[in-house]
Amino acid sequence: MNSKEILAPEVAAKLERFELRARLIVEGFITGLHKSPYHGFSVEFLEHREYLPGDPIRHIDWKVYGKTDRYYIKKYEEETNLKAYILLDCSKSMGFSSGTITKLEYGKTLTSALTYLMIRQKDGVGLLTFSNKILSYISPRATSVHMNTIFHELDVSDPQSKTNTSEVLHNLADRIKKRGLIILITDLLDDPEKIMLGLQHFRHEKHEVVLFHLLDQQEVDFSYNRKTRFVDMETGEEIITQPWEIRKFYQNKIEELKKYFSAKCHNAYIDYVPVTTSTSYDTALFAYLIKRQRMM
Amino acid sequence: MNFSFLNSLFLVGLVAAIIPILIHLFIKYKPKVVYFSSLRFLKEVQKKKSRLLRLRELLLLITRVCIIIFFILALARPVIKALLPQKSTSHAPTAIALIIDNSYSMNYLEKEKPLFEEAKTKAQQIIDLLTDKDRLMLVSLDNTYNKQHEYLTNPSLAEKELDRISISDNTQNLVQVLKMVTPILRRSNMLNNEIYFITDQQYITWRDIQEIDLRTNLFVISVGMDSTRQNISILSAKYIPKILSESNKPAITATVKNFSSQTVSDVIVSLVLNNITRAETAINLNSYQSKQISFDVPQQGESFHFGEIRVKDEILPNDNIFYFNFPSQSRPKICVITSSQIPEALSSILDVITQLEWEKSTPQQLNEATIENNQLFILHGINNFNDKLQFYIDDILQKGKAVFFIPDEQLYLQKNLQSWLEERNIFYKSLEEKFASIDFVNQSHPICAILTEEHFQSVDISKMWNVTTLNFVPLLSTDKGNSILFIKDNFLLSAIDLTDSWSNLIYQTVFPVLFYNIGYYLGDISSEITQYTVGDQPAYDVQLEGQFTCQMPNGEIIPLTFSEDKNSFIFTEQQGHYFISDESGLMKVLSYNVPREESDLSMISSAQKKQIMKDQNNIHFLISESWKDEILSSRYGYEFWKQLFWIVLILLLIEMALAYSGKGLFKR
Repeated sequence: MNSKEILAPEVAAKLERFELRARLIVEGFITGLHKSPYHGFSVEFLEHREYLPGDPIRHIDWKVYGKTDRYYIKKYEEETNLKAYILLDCSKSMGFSSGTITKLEYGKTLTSALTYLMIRQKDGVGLLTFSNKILSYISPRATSVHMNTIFHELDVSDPQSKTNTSEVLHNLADRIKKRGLIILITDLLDDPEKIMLGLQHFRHEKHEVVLFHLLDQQEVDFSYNRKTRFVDMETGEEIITQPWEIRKFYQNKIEELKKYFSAKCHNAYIDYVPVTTSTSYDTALFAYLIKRQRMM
Repeated sequence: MNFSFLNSLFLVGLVAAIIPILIHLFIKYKPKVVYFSSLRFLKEVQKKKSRLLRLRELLLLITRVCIIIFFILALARPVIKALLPQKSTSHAPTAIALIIDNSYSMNYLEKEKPLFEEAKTKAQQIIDLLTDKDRLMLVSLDNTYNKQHEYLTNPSLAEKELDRISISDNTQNLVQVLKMVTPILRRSNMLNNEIYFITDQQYITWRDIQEIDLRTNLFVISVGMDSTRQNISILSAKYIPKILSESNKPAITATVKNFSSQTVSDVIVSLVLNNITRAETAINLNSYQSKQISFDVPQQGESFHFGEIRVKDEILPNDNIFYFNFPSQSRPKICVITSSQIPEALSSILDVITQLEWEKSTPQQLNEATIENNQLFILHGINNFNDKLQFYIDDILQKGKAVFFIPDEQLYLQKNLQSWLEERNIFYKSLEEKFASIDFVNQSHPICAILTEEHFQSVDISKMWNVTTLNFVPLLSTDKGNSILFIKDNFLLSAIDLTDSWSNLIYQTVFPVLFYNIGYYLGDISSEITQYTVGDQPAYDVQLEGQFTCQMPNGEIIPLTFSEDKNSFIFTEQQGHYFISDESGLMKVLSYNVPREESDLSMISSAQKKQIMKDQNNIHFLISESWKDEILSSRYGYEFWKQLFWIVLILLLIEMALAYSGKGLFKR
């Protein structure tokens, strides 16, 4: 499989295990990075220094000793200051799909890829799934065991209930004390102003925020051609309409929503990344890396 | 406002207008169900759009129904009659040929006014309905007038020509005029062409109408209310010059016919010679009866040049006079067509009566010139009646010349001749060899007028053909009941050969007298050319050459030139005498008569009308009371269907705009 191919959502979706998905996506992504202008950040950074008394013996690099007869310590950059919180919207609206994968499915895969990438970089990653309330919370850590915990949580998360993003955001903002990176993956189908207030709350607490606005392509295009009865996935409300009659109006509304968040996020120094379920994962990962680099 | 349709059958299609309504009311598509992430925006739209959408759907439905209705209406070609058509100018521009029947039957008096007056009034009414956008060609049945008016013009200009149309003695039949006008209408490049024909509906006018391929609507407007018209006509008059009659005087015979379903009595028929009434007689005529009247020409010192037979009938005067004149010379022109010898006695008598100028021709020698030069053709001893001879004999009879057929014993071998005779209902059945004598002489016929049975007392007949005929008049019959001489018009038949083996007739004193009368009655060419029908050219043997003057029947005097191959005498449209004179005085009188077919005023029956309308779809006989509405009905709103098609087109565009307005309708 080509390294680029795995970055396509529909290809990655074929892999059952998030671990595998995440690894393949990230490996594929990094292979691509070598050829890209973003070549300054290495996850394999190592430092050797001479052994000083008191250093743990297990850290001596015996291979170097074998070559040079000197004791060198292999220093890992084990500790990092960054703690990232991935907030994944698991409301029913995220269960919408017009093609092979749902928005939630995409969100989960993106979460797993980000988790993998960040833990590889020794950043701590936490996960919060929510609908109208917090469904699960895993505090950030940077171990590979922790990664499996997150993957497991992603595995069992299903779309449920309505959205109430703002409440969850405020709730979380109050709980996190240490400055960190907030990655929100949601379709933003809630009151935009309230969501913005929640996001600004994070900014107020000096957190960096990346907002992945995740939509299905059909939610953007609204290209239905038959008279259709639309049923709201969250509320169960129904509307019968001729989609071609209202397409333009709908598209304008979605466009307005995007513009609103784009403008507001720009003002609040929040990275706003609109993605659809057909967007390649590397687009989303780039957005993260750019943010990460800025934080360095 | 009156509304009707030219193609009303299409109106059935209006039922189709309910299809969009049925679809709208009863056919509901089951919508597809889609579980959508959020209806937040959709609900917002739904509020705004629902009213507009319903309105648009209603508009679409109305538009679609209207498209079907207007399309069907356009196909049905609606006709709208305005309430005040004479003031309306809404009719489509039309090229019209208005034909006025000006044959002399239109001179018929009804309510003391000639029908022609009524025809002109109706023509004026039609012209009043036209506008400057129309084009009119005003013509009649008179070829001379028509030649000068073969063009379409402004109705107001054509109106001025109306007074110039008058009753003509020399008219064409309708078909010829239609053949003249239809190409002119077609060349006008106007979409609507119509022909109006104002006529007295005389049957004769419609002769040969099936010959024409009429593609333009012809509306027949009738004049005259009386369907039982009466007319008495002198059909013919003929000078019988030197025939041996009882009084031994020349005679004038005339045929008078009563063209009506009623008996008329005390009809006065008079003979006028050189403008003086010489004789008068009163006759009674049953319905459609014709009678032959004979007047003796008084033998006086003066020489008569011309004359008329008159009948008094004031309702239609044009055919009341028959003009004739006296021949300048009188000598029968006889040709004997034979393959064998001519009996001596016969050739001697021919020498005498033709002053040695008779011709003899074999069937092979017979040619056009011989036929032109002679009037009576005696067929005797023909042994090969071939196609050529048959053609010539038919030609002779068609030209009004006479044939005298004398059979021989070999007739039964001549199959061609026998079948030719049988076609004319003449059957030479068998040759009978028995003695017979003549015991009947038809004295009512001019040929036998002075002869009696006594004159034929010593005539013995030993051999004769047993002949049966249809419509032939016997002149001589035997005591055995067989006739030996028959006549029908100009075809004389004998049952015996003129040789002594058949009878001794040729040696009897009565034979020269009988043959003299036959020769003069059937063979005198001069009696045939003393009268012409209007429009005819005088025959080539007018025998005048040089410069002359001619006094026309209306008194006008015109110069005239006759040369061998050309004469300039072409103005023969009037009936009456044409007096041709040179410096020395009166040279010749030519007498012209109107054609007598026109005398029969029988009107075209409704069955005949139906047949004509069946043969020619474009001919419409209009009802006399409402003719004005009828002709207008084909014109007002004639192009209304075009407007309807435009409406359909506009509605289609609206429909398309409405149907595809989904994109733009809610655009902010």
